[in-house]
Parts: sequence; structure tokens; C-alpha cells
Amino acid sequence: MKKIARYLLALFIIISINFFIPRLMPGDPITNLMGEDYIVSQESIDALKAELGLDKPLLVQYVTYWGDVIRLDLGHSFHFHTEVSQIIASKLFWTTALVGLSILFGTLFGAILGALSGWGKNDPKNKTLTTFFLWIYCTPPFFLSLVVLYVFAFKIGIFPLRGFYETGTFTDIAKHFFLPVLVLSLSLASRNYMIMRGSIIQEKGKLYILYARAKGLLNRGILFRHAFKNASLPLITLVALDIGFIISGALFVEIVFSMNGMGTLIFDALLARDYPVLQGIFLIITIMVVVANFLADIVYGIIDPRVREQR
Amino acid sequence: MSCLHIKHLTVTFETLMGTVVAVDDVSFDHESKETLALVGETGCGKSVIASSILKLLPDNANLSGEILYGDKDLLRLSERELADIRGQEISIIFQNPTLALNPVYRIGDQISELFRVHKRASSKKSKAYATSLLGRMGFKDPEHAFHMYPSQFSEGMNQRVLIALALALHPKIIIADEPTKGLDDQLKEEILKELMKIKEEKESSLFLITHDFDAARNIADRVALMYCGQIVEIALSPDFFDEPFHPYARGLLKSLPSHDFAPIPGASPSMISPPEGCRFHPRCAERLEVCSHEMPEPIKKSGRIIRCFLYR
Repeated sequence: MKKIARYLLALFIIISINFFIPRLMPGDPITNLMGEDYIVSQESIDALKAELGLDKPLLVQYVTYWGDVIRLDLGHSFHFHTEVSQIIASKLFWTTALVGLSILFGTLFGAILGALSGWGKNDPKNKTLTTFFLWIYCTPPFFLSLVVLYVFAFKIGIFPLRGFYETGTFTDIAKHFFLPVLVLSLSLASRNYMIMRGSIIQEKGKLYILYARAKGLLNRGILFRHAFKNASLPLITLVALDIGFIISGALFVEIVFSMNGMGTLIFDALLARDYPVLQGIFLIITIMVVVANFLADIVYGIIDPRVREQR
Repeated sequence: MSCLHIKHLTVTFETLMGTVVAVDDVSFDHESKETLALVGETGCGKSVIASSILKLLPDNANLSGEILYGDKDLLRLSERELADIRGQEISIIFQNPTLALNPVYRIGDQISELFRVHKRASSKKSKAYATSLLGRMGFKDPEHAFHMYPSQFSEGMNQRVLIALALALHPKIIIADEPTKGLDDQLKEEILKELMKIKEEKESSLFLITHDFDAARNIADRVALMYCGQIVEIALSPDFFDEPFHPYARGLLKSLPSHDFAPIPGASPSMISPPEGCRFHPRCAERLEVCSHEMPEPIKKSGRIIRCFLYR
């Protein structure tokens, strides 16, 4: 209960900060809105201020802001000329699908391969796999994207270079999705592999592992029935954070693959200085991070009884 | 009839500091249904013998010799064959019960696992077995105990769980590696009593590893004394405590608070470069000329096995 209250407080503070930051910025919002090259009469400025509600006291503005947040009204974009919430909603699905799939594959493969690698002997096969993942781990995803795009789309030509629209058939979408999902999955898997490998190596020396062997369990049984659950604890926070950043995590990859998602939207909004859009996105990201942390807390409690007791 | 023959068992560990000879040419028989206590100070290699029997040693260990169980040499069995024996025919109780249990699984599930693995019992059946075992081990509310986690139990309760696990499948041999270490005297007594009671019932033999002379005196049929990787004396328990043969055994008994409280001079030698000749000679009050350059071989003498030149 105490934890839930703490998370609610965090949300309240974050949403409030989101209200105050633009008001703390130097300069006049109207000038900002119109651009500095326009010369506008004082009456028009006053009229605009009244229309935007900026002439009211700060407290009234704050209350109105909360009302908007609750109604999911994130304001109006002056670059795209639509409601911010509508723009975000239209891009959200594909990004979530892209990053969600990648988190799924990246976690599954990274954790299982990492566990096997940490458990097994340090033979050449194992070393090769570790070197491979270390290599991926050290490569920035956008560079990896450029490389696979160059090789598979430009040189070999089995995957499309660009042109993703959400109306294609299933195979069409799969074709466009394959490379970016591959890159993102690999980069997530490489991190998860490293964490899981280290974690398993640490668990391997513990007495309960030896005892499981003494009970008559075989190697794989000990790994997946005993070591894996304990070793996966450090991974949970990381995967939760991945989910928290699900909508912005693929920024560079989306841009390189010209995908029509949140990453590209953030990029365009940045270039156009479209503050309402950015503000709306930041708000959603922070809320997602808080929610993901909350979920991680719950999962910890389910897996580890020692965490549960401390509540 | 003996159920376990250990012949010329030698265990060495490769470490950065050099090769450690933890167990040096140890031979003894373990009779069925008997309680054999292996005593010695910390670090003399007692626990390594225990772990060797089930081949639970780390990868840097080299084992040689034979450990015969029936017609099988345990050191030469495959991992799969060993897994069938472990927990079912030979079980072990560790000295740190709370660390030996997996922290993220319920006590009951960790007991049930044994029936699932060895008997292929259904989850319902193994749950029933586990609950009844917990009841037998003195848990007043076994249903409740089933759902507890090791971190919610005391050290003594977890030790009971380990004993329950060790006895669950009526093994031929139970190895108890300092099962009462770190427990208070009353609990110690209770745990040993419980262990002996069920051991008699199931007609298992008990191989008790301890540095607690009182425990050995109270429950063991025979005592084997170890010093620096070697067994220096094996005798029936009353004989050993009434009239120990080996100078080390005499020194140890004299050092007990209930006797003279007089320590043996000197410190235990390094296992990497043990002293030449008899391992004990630098600390021995009765050493002979031969002791410093020749290693005594174990010999039989009035029903005991002794490794000392005084009894040649």
C-alpha cells in the first residue's frame, strides 16, 4: 500500500513538473508560438493570450491543466495542425509493436543463451558466442541498423529500404519489420546475455546448487529449475525499464529504417520545435517508466519471497 | 556387512597457490546400519571425503582411488548414474541448511521435488508425501510449513527440513556433514536424537562428519580420526574415547575442557607442503627418530587401524 502511494506521489510530481517547465522557460510563449519575425499588435497578443488561457492566474491554469491531462487532452500541435493526443495515438501502435516484439525476443534469447553460456564450460563454442554478443553490445544500434540496411536491403536487396505504411498485407509488414526487429532484438539480447551470464556464474557457486545436485537432479534441471529463477532477478529491472522506454527506445532505429513511428515523430517535432508534441510525449514516457517500475516491483514480489516480506 | 569401501582415496585441488592434497590415501569401510563418525579439526579434509562419495567436488578437484558401493565404483559412474544414487540411495545433509535450500522456492516444493525426480510421483502425491514428512519431523502444522520459505524459518527448522529430505527415500547411507554446526546445545541434541531415531527406523547407515567429540561419543559406533588429509586412527567408539592410541588422539582428548584443557602445541600444517615423514611429528611429544623422515603406513592393531610408528 505504501508503495502504491509512493508511485502515485511520483506521478503527481512528474505531471506537475511537466506543467511548470515550459512556464519557467525564458521568453514569451506568444512570441515563441508566432516566431520572432512577426510583428503583432498588442491587442492581438492579448486576444491570443485570452484564447490560450494564459491571462488567467497560474493556479487556475494549473487546475485547467490537470483537467486536460485527465481527459487525455495534450494540446494542439502547431506543426502538424492536429491534436497532440491524436498524433501520438496514430503512431503509438506501430512503435509498440516494433519495440514490444524486440523486447520479447531480446529477453527470451538473451536470457536463455546467457544462462546456458554462464552454466556451461568455457569451451570455444561458448567463447565465440560471448565474443559475438560482446561485439553487438558495444555497437550502437543505429550503426548496426545502417550496416544491416546496407547489406540486406541495398546490396542483397531481399528487404525493402524504406516505405513502411501501416496499410500493407501481413507479409508486407513482416518484410518491413524484419530488419529493425532483428537489430533491436540483437542489441537487447546482447545486454541481457551479458547480465544473465554474469548472474548465473555468480549463482553457480552457491550451496543450494550443490545441494540440488546432491538431491539427484541433473545439470539442465538444476540450471532451469534452481539457478535460473534466482539469476533472473537483476534482469527484471532492466526489462521493466525497456518496457518503460518502449515508445522512445527505438528513436534512431526508426529513423534509419524510415519507420513511421514515435521515434520519427520525436525527431520531426524536435526539428520543428513543436513543444506541445514533445511535452506530450515526455509526459507519456515518464508515466510509462513509473508504471513499468511499479510492475517490476510487483514481479519481484512474486518471484522472491524475501522482497515480499519487506513490504 | 559393509556397504561402502573406500580404497586409497586421494583428492587434490589445483589452486593458484599450488596443489593442495586435501585427502591423502584414505581407506576405510563403512558397515551397513552402523554410525561412523569422522572427526578431526576444521580443514583436515573431512568434508572433502563426504563430497567425494557423491562426487560433489568442484571442477579443479582430482580424485583417484576407488569408492565401492555394492559392485559400483562411484568415482567411475556417469553423471546420470550418479544422479540416480544421489538423494535416493546415498543422501547428504549439509552444515548450512539455510544456504542449501533455494531461497525462492517453498520448503514443501523443495521436498516434493525429491519424489518427483526419483519416483516420478504426481505433484499431488508428492505434496502429500512432503506434508507427512514435515509432520514427522516435528512441525506442528505441516500444511503451513509446506508453504513457508527458507528465509522464514530458523536455522534449526531448516536443518530439520534437510534431515527430512535426507531420509525421505530410505537411503542406504546418510552422510551428515557437521549437521549441528552453529546450533545451540539443546537444539544440537534434539537434532541428533531425531536423526538417530529415524536412521534406526529406516535401517540406514550414518556417516557423521563432525568436530564435536561429545556428539561422536554419544551416537557413533566407530570413530575415524583425521589429521592433515590422512586417517590416523579408526576404532570402536568406546575404545577410542577410553584409551586412544594415536598421540594426536590423546592430545585432542586432553585438550577438551572436560579433561585437562591442555592444547596440542604448534599449529596444523599447510596442506600444500605438509611436513615430511609423519604429518604429526612436529607437534608430537612421543616422536621417534624415524617419524621425521618416514611416513607410517596404516596397520591393524588390536581391532583398530592406526597410522603411527609407536605401534609397529
